[in-house]
Amino acid sequence: MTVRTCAFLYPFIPGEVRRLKASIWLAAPVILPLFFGACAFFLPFGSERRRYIYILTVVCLTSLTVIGLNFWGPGEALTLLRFGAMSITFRLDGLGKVFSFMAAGLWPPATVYAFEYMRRSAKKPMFYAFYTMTMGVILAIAYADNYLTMYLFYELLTLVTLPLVIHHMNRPSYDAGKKYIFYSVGGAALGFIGLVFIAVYGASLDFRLGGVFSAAVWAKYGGVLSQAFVLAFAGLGVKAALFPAHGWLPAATVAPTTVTALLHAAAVVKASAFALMRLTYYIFNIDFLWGTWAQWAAMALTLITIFLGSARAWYTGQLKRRLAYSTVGQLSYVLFGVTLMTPEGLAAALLYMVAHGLIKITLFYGCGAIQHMTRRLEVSELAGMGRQMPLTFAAFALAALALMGAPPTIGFMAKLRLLRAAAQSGSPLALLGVLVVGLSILLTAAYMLPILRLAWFPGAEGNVGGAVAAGAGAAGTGTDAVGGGATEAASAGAGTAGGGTGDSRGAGTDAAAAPPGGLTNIMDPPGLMTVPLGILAALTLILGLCGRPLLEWLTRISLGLA
Amino acid sequence: MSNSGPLLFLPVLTPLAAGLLLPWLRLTGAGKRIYTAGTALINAGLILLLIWGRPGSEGVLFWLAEDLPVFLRLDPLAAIYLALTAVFWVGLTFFSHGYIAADERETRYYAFFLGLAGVLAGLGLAGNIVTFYLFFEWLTFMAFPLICHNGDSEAINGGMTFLIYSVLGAGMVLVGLVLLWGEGPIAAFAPGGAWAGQIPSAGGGRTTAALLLLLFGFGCKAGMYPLHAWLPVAHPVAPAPVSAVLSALLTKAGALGMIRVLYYLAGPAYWRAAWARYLWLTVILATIFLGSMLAFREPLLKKRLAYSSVSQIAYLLFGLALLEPAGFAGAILQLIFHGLAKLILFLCVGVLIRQAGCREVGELKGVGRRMPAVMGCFALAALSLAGVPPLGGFISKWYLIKGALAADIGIFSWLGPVVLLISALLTAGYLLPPVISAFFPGAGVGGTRESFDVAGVTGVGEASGVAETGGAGGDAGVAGAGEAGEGTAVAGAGGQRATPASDWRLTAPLVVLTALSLLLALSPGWLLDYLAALSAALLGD
Repeated sequence: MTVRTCAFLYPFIPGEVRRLKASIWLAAPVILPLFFGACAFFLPFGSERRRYIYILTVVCLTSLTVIGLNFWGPGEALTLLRFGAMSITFRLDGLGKVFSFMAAGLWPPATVYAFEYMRRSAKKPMFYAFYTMTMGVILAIAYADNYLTMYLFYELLTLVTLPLVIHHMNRPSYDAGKKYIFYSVGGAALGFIGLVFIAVYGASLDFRLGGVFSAAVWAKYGGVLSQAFVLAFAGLGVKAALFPAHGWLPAATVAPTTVTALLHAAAVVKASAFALMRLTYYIFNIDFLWGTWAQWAAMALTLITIFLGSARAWYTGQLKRRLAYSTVGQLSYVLFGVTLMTPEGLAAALLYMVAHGLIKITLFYGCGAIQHMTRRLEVSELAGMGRQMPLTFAAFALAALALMGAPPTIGFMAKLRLLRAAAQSGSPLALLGVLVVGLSILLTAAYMLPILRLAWFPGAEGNVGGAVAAGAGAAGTGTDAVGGGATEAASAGAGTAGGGTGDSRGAGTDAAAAPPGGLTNIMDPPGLMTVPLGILAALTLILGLCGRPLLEWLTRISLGLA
Repeated sequence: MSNSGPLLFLPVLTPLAAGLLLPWLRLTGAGKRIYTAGTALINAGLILLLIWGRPGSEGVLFWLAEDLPVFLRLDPLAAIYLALTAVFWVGLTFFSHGYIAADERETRYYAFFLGLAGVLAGLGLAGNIVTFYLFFEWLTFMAFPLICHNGDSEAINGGMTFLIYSVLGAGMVLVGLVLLWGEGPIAAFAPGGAWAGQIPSAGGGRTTAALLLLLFGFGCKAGMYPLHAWLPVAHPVAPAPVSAVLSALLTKAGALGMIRVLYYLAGPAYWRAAWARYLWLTVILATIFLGSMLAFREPLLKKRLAYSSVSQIAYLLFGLALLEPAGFAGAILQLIFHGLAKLILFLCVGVLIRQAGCREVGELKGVGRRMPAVMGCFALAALSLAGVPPLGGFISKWYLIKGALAADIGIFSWLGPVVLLISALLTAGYLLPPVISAFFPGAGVGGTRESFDVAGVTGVGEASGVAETGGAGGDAGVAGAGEAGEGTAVAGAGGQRATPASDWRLTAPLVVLTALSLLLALSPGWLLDYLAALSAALLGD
């Protein structure tokens, strides 16, 4: 798609813009959701249906533009603003393509899912406006051609996602929001320090594989630049929940699950991983950094986070928080790949970024579906639900296995690539990293498999004879099996158990949410939720089975060939 | 990589597809039986035809990455494992028909049972280590629901223990593999070692550590000390056919992994020079002794057999660790004959539990008179395991000791045979007394029907909460079994089963399998020739 197809518009376009030519298209996926998303807040839609159609149209159009750009995108840059040596510039390169492709692929199913999940929300206009605008900011980060542009939109990302985090507008939400903004702004400040050093010592701020520092500059100022790298790495890593600044992510699970899924598993946190790739490979030179204390420091941080996140997930009882801690650990797999500072490491990190985005969004959607239909959040309450919500739990199981790295899913490929890159990188700390990741895989199994076990094999006493409808209570109400005529007693017990969760909102709406007949006839959510869930779960398998082109593409990108 | 045999995918894909399809077909009880039996028979026929007609064919299933094919290859080792799976599976399927209660869990059982057959075939056929790892992982996920089949907390506890050990093992395998890949490419299995010339033969610490990780990772499945603890927990809670699969095929998958890594990847030459070889030998000998000792002390029948498996599979590993043609042949013979014997023993115990309510060794008094066929099979298999000539166990142990004496392993070349002999005595000590007391109960018991029933009822009462006793056959003990169930679902299951499973459905597969194993043990010439050729190809002399 070039600008030539729109030649009839030429007379109406001012000369300044006309000179930009094809690269003008780069602004479209950024402007489209930002502008129309903001409009969605003010437009009087009349009916919910019209709002859905409007939002879905904007999101899908943006996605289509992104996909089109990925295939026929312009090579030249688009400068929006210029001041002195600095500029706000967009350009499409391989790394940006991967990230924008991922966002474009995940946003439409996520939006469809949100329609059903947010059905009962009273704050829809605000939600959908910011939900859509976030997509524009994410794409801007993907297309950013220099550190300044990326930094600008990185800060903006904090602002547009804050209203989503504090969506419920209650005390816990505000607390979480405060924590989120405090951590994010603090991290960005460190990133800004990095910006200053790069601007002073670098040849430019532009992202080019191999970096902006000449060998002479590095020989003279390597020490101070290494310090700047570690500061910027830790700072930009805040949004990827890098230790010691990982605390905001589990706290932010107070947001609606659809927000947690898309932003805190796939988009926002991955923007941080993406920024770190840019910093490490495109601003600094991996040949200069490799083997220095700066690499060791960054890698040590990621390894600590991997262990910490996985271990915390293991003994967290609430499903959503468990997944959040799991995200903390898994994100650092990506960052570990980044800190390997080899092309294989970058390719592995990219693959892991895509794989984890897909897997974790599926897991969160499964969790959201359970929450939506039953208001249950504690892992112990999921006993026996595999039979009642077969589609949800099948998707959840597939994603859980992928997260553990079971072949032939994309999760296996990603783990294999990452571990192999680590073993081949030649750094002794990376070998330790292989062991840490191995340990983390065991922990992942330890926190995911019991969920599946509980869902299908509740293990209640006396559930052998007849139809199993077990519901273990949060307060240890016990498990009820419907053998003969005990149905009423069982549903009553399960009902009280459902109300006793730690979720204060859930308790109030419980009666309304639960289908008639108590919780004994829990079932899969409607198609608006199960279809996106199924598609995403199937993708984890399909990409694992036929992921060869993807892998080849990522390898070429990491070598600077695409 | 040539794609010479897409037919090769069928032994893997047919059972997997059949298992996936089963829940959607909504078959009746008889339909399910015909469906599973048909699949098992067709699959077995297919496998035997492939082994006969297309040895050496290979095919790529799919590509994980540009340099990572998932591909299958029918080499001689694969043929052995595949043939075992095929034959066992037919027997196990027919046995399951008589054994698994016709309730709502039946479909799940058969679906995973079929799937497991496909995964085991894939494991045998795997042409490179990534393919092997893929099926190795799925082995765990397919076997877990089968172990948990009864659904009570004991069964789930057993299943979870199995799961934890398996995941631990798979994790160790993965890390070991990755560490090895740091030094070499991802190569297809080749006899004598694909990396034979590539990895440093001086015994680099990292390579040795990686190989140890791999051996212990596979050892998790093979029940190698100190990672054997799941066997005695998982075997007793699983339904009898599943216990049989665990011992006869699933634990062997771990051993198969070790063969693939040692003989087809790293190469015997490397391992011969590595210090870790002696560590491994020590662990193996400890496992042999420990397993036999624990089995000797264990009163619960299935648990005793599980400990026996720990010990007997370590025999197999001992043969592998020798790196001698005779030792290797002994290991493969042990794989075959231990598989057969343990399969028969577990199925016998299944019949005993189902029809006589016997769970403990002490309750077997006089059972032989009432169930001569079952206890006869039990006796033959027990004698084979103890290594009594001319049965199969004797042949394998003969080769193992021959290999040990020929191998250049210092003190181990006489320590090994000594441990093997002690263990053989222990094996006789823990397997033969049950047989003797079953046929010759001695004075005071008399083996009358009445006293037998009393024993049966007591046994069921002690083992309350285990559902399979609920379906006990048409004996007088059934009513007692139902009542003794103490309010658990046993009563329900017993009540549902109006017509008891007829005896022959359980005994017929048993007798056929025993006859087969006898036939094989008495005419082993062709098998020995086959193994001699295989070990010559692997060990180069």
